[in-house]
Formats: sequence, structure tokens, C-alpha cells
Amino acid sequence: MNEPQYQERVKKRTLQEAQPELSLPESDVPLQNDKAVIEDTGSGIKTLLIALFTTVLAIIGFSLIDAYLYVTDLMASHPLLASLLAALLLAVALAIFALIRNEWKGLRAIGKYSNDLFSIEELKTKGDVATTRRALKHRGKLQTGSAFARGCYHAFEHSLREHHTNDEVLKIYQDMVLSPIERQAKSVLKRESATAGGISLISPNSFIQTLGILWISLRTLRRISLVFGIRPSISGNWRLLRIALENLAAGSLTDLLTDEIAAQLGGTLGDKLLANSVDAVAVASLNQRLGKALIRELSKH
Amino acid sequence: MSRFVNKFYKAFDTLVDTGAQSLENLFSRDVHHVIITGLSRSGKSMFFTTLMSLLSQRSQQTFDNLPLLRSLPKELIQSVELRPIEGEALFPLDRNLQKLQSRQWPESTEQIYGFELVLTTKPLNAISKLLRKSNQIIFRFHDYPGEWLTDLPMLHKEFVAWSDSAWSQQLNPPQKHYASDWHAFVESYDFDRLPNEELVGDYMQQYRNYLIAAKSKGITLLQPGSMLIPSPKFNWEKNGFAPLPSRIASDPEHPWTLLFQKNFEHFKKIWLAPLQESYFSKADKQIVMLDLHQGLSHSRAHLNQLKETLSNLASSFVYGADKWYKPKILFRHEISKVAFVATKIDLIPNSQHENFLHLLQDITSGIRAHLREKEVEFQHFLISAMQTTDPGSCENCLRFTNPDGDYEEWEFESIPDRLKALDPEQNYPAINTMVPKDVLARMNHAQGIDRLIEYLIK
Repeated sequence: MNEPQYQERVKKRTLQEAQPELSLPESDVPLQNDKAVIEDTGSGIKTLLIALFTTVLAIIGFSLIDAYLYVTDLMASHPLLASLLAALLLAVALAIFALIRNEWKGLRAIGKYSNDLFSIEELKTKGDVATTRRALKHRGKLQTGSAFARGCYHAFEHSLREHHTNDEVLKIYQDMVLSPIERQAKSVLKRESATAGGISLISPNSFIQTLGILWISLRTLRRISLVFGIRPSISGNWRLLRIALENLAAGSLTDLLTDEIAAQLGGTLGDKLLANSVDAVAVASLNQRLGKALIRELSKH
Repeated sequence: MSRFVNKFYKAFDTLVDTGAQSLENLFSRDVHHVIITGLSRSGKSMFFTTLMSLLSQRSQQTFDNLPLLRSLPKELIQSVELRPIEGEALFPLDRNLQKLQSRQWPESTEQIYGFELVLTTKPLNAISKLLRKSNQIIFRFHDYPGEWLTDLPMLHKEFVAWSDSAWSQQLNPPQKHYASDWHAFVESYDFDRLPNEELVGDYMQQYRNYLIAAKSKGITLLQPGSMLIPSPKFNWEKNGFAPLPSRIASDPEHPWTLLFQKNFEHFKKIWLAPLQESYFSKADKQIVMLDLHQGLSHSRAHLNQLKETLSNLASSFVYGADKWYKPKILFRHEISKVAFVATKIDLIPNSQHENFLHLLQDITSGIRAHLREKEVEFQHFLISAMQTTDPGSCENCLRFTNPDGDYEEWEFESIPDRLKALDPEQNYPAINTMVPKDVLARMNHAQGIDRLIEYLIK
């Protein structure tokens, strides 16, 4: 054989150490992202919110007075029954207020979404692999409040490899974090909407139904936020508040309307049940609307 | 009468069963006939071993070892099964895994293995659940010695044409560097002696020695490769042949020409034609596996030769545009999707992957022109069945444990992005690694296999 000699284009050296076991990259570099522009909610929306808020207050007020008048009317003829009913109404109202308070506290305890994060779209178009991975790691830290999200992030981190491109990292993130969280949130929402419908079905009057809707709305927000591990930012809260108030108004108006129709039909137990069933469907749908808005809010970034 | 009725009933029953099975196959099984076209040492066996291990482990892990296999999310997989194909030996997965765990690379393939990788998926919707319908995605693979692959183009040649082309290849680099002993032998050989078993045996042995020497030096275009790993179906001692110098081969009445011509035809009929028919003509997808490291570690001429080998192989497969009715109604198999795969990418630093991919694209340019004519879809991939190396102290550095157990660091200069960019006098030695201790963990760091399978099933 007369093989020519070739010049090697590799420099070789022997190291005085053993090959390490494989470990996943753990970088903790703080993000230096540009602040995202907080969406301008505008004065028009504020006016709308005030209008919705006052509408809801008015509905609650009217419902309360309606209940009060009913009890005082009853007091003249059946003082004992009226007293019992008043006490029961007060107890139910207090219990629901306590539940609302708990939900509110629970929701506030969840970490807030940070507006200074890059969106997935920004990471896709502008980011390189290193920035994307840092950004997603940071997101992961924000969402540690949710055991479900923690599990998703854990699986995601362990599935990433050095050779993955920016686009591939984001695809894996979509498949292993965003999609499962969204699926889980939708399943929670389904259950919450069914509960909302149930409350509407059994609520004896508009006042209790309004409070019930308020409670279940907050519970839906808290439970979905718990799946994500974060609650919406200020701008997101404004949007959700608007939807929640719209729902309350729409739910209460539906209730008043169906009660009126039931009364026109004759006011039998069957009519009342039919009216409440219509209410239940409406309330469940409205709850779905609120939950979907929250999911959209927490998923879109 | 009752015997006749029984017979009729049995025949009817068999027919119904066959029909039901065919319908089941047609509607609930998605069969991918994948042909892996890989020369010797291209990494076919390691690819199979890793693919099956990753798929089997996938559902048991919290993380996803094939995250880019989006068409088959791990939640959807109900079971992974390796099934033999009737009449074929089953791929030795367990043996290969045991070898790896005892820190030895699996032995090179010296026989044909046929197997089906069956992925059963969970029913997707309520109707499917109600009907208990579960879909199966089946990959039908064959593993075989790469040496046999390079023989396929011989099917379309006559002995004299083949002998002349083999001779002309040996006179050009890179083969000529390793053919000097063989050439010296032929030059002094007395072809006036009538060929007998002893003389033919000796002549063939000399040629075989050349093939062995050339193979060890990274030559890929070696014909007949079946001479290196003989098949039980062809007797080389009795029916062997080797290239003859032009002055002999050009004489159609020369006894050596007559004998070798007869043996050559016998080789085609007994061995090559059935080989192609059984294993290389019933595919709808093709993975062309290439080990560019071998070529890079020798010279540009080696890589050029690899390119030529690849182009020659194009004529051995049936290509055609993807039409759903071809396999289902016309029962015709044509390769409609091709994945060109450069293996052992873990032996190249990440920073050089892009150049390596471009180099792969340059090497496939010949065969790709053929595919375009046939409207065949193709894509290029870089894969590694295991991450045997670690990042080094610079972006072009890699660390690995060599077969002596020493931990080394190699710093690569830029990998050429096309053949012309590689200086003919320079090369890039190939990293030769020991099987790492943490073999399963490193298998889980395999690169690009998910991208490749996703492409094939999409």
C-alpha cells in the first residue's frame, strides 16, 4: 500500500480526569429583557367597568331589598317563620361571603404574572436558543406555585438537549408545558362550570344566586390560576373583572327574566324548576366564558 | 356430503378471516415499510437498538426522550412491541443492550434480521373507544450487512462491463493506494493456464485481500461486497469471480472470461436478484444512512467516492411520487420519501453541525437529482444513537474516552461545508470512543432520532 500522508486538522490532548456522568444544564442567569408594553386599558373601558359594577351592585341591592321586603311582609303574618327565614338568609349570605373571602385570599396568594417576560412569539422570532431557554426557565420559576406546572416544567427541562434549535425548544415547550397545562385548566373549568350551573339550579332567590355566582367565579379563577401557577397581571385582571361583572349582570338579569316568565306561566314548582334550569345553563355558559378568558390570558404569553 | 360441507365451511371461514384481517390492516394499521440503506459501519444496528430502547422507555419516564416526535406523543402510546417477520431472524436487541452495558459496541451485522416495530396507540375519540379500536403504527425494518448493499448495482451489468468499471476504479484514487499488491499479482499472472478450482480460488483470494485492505482504509465502493461477508445462499469457492484485466475480459472466448461470466450471472440469479426482491423492493420510505466520519478521516477522494457509491445505488431502488392508492389498491411499493442521515453526529462539535449538514447535502447532490425527477420528497438529518462525547474547553472542542480508557479532548478546525472546501491533502481523524459507563443515560441523549421518525410518519 502506498497511501499518501494527510495533514490532520485536529489538535489532540489527553486530560487528567475521568469522563463525567451526564447532567442537565442548569443556568441561573437573570433575564435582562426589555419591559413589555403594558396594554393601555383606556378610559372608555374604565367607564364601562364602572357601569357594569354599578349594575351588579344595583342588582344585588334590589335582590337584597326584595328578599328583605319578602321577609318583612312575612313577619306580619308568620313572625316565627319570617325570623327563621331571615336568620337562614343571613347565615347563607355570611357563609357565601366567607367562601368569597377565602377564594379571594387564595387567588391573591398565587404569584402574579410578570409583564416583563418575552412572549412565545417574541422568543420565536427574536430569541436565540440560550435566551429562549433562560426565558423559559424564568417562566418555570414563576409558575412553581402549581404542582402540575412544576411537573410539566420538570419533564420539559429533562427532555431538552443541547442540539435542539430555538424553534424546536419552543415546540417542545408547547407540547410539554403549554398544551398539558391548558388541557388541565380546561378540565378544571368544565367541572367548575358544572358546579356553577348546579348552584344556579338550587339557589332559592336572586340574591343568593348572585352571591353564588360571585363565589364560583372567584373559585374558577383561583383553581385555573392554580393550574398555571400564576394569576393574571394588572392588565389581565382588568379584562377579567370586566368579564366577571358582565357575567354577574347577565346571570342576574337572566334570573330576573326567567323568574318573571315563570311567574307569568303560573308560578308552579314545575315552572320554577324550568326557570332555574334555564338559569343553570346560562350561568354555566357564562362561567365557561370567564374561565376561557382567563385561560387565554394566561396562555397567550 | 358432510365432508364437503365442512370443507366448504372451513374455506369460507378462512376467507372471512383473511378478509377481516385485510380490512383491519387497511383501516386500523398504518404500516411503514422503511428501508434502511446504510453501508458497512454506518450505524444501522445502533440506530435500531437506540430507537427501540427509547420507545420502550419513553412511556415510563417523566421526561420525554423523543420530544420532537409530535405525531406520536408519549401519552398516546399504549404499547411498543418488537415482532419477528416470518422467516426472518429477530433483531438481537437484548444481546446488543447487554453488550453495551458491558461496555462493548454491538458486533457488526453479518446476517439479515427482519422485524416489525409495532406501536399501539390509544383510541383518540369516544367512538373509537366504544368500538375498542386501537390503531397500530408499524415500522417494518430489515438490518443486513452493509457490504451487500453495494452489490445491488451489479444486477444491471454484464460481467465484462462490471469488470472494466471495477478495474478503472482501482486505477484511480483512493482505491489505487490500496490496490498495488493486487495489481502486481494480476500483472504477473499467467492467464494461459486453464481455470481450475485451485487457480480460481487463489485468484479470488488475492482479490479478496485487496477488498479487505481497502475496506479497512475506508473505501466504500467495494464489489462484490458479498465476498467479504458471504451469504449462505451463494458458494464463492465454487461459483466465484473477480475482475479480469481488460485484455482478458475483452476476449469473449477466453476460458477465464467464460467462467467468470457464467459465475457472475449465477451470482445475480441466485443471490442478488432475490436479495433485492425480498428486502429492497418493498419499501415506501427510505433512510439513507451515511458515516461521513470515515470519509473525512481519510481524504476528499474517499468522500467523492462515497458520493459516487450513493449515486450508483439510486438505480437499485424503485422511486415514485406518494399516492395513497399505490400500496392499497395497486399493491405497488415505491419509495416516496427519503431521509438522508449522517450518523454519529455526537463526534462533531455542536458549532460545526451546520457545516456538517451542508457537507451531507453536497454528498447527496447526485442522488437527489434522480429523486427530483421522480417527485420524491427528501430531507437531511444529523443523528447520533448515543451521546458519547462531552463539550470541551472551546466551542470546537469535544471530550471523550478513547478505547484505552483515557479521557481526551480534540479541537477541530472548521469542518468543510462542501467537498471542494476540503483540501485534498488534509483530513479530520474520526473519534473512536469507548462505550460510556452511563450508557443508558447517554442513549437518552440521542440526537435527531425523533426528528427523523417524525418526518417518516408525518
